[in-house]
Amino acid sequence: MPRVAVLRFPGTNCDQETAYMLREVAGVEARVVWHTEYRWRDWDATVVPGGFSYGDYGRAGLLASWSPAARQLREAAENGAPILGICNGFQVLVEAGVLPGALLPNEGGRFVARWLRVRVHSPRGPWLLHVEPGAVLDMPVAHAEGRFYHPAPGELLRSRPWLEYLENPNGSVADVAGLASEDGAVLGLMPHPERAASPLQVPRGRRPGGHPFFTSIGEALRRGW
Amino acid sequence: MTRHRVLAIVAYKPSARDPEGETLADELRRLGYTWVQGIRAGKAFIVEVEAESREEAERLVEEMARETRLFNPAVHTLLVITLA
Repeated sequence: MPRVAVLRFPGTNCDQETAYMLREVAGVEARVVWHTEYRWRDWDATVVPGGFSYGDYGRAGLLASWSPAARQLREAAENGAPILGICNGFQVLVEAGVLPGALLPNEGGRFVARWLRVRVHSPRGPWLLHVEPGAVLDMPVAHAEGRFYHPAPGELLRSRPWLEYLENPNGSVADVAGLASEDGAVLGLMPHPERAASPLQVPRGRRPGGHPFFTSIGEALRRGW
Repeated sequence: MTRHRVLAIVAYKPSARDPEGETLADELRRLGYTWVQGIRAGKAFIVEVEAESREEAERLVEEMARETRLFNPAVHTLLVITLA
């Protein structure tokens, strides 16, 4: 059975539900791994889950990017290992230099916690195997520092998978909700797929848009990604 | 070697919107401080440094801030000043 690490920093708080969905929906073995004990070669894939690593001190994700795990994540990405960063995990991947850009405080100046829709562009790679181009997914967001910024978004998004907010909650440039590496092996997003992976989690009128992320990684790893 | 107190200020570049600074500036103008042309909010760190000179202390702090990405050069400006 494929083995997936769910990385835990001090202040991470979405690790258990993320591991649960990896087991129940992806059908893989999932373990929560403390950041100082994480070695990327021990795992078939890694998820950096949501929360408030190091209390968001300095900036969200900054202090986690000083952990030895950040070097492991950079090395894993260079070697094409699948990595998913959710919310604070996305912030960690950006601060660690695994994904480009920056995540700034929301333009509205407030924490946003709500369901919304994202459109998936150029899906490929192990996390988006079961997602059609242009698919619209329902997921919740919950963050204070989710405003994606990059000086040249047009060029940045031309050749990679990315997610677009249909209702931008934070002032992200080009309505970016998430983006991947060119081959899709590394994906980071602000919405929470692990909170939308089962019909039981989903309010009336919404669909579980997080479900395909988990079925995708399960199948990708079983096929020998 | 002497002890220096070095102030490091991380603020947003003009290219990145800064809702905190913009809101403060708007509200201050509303209160009658019409000469407020703009505010950039940021974060300040006072670093206690052991170094030969003020210049050396500032250089150390600036280097550390660059190496650790205490500020992100893509979106932030960094201002380093030694306090008396």
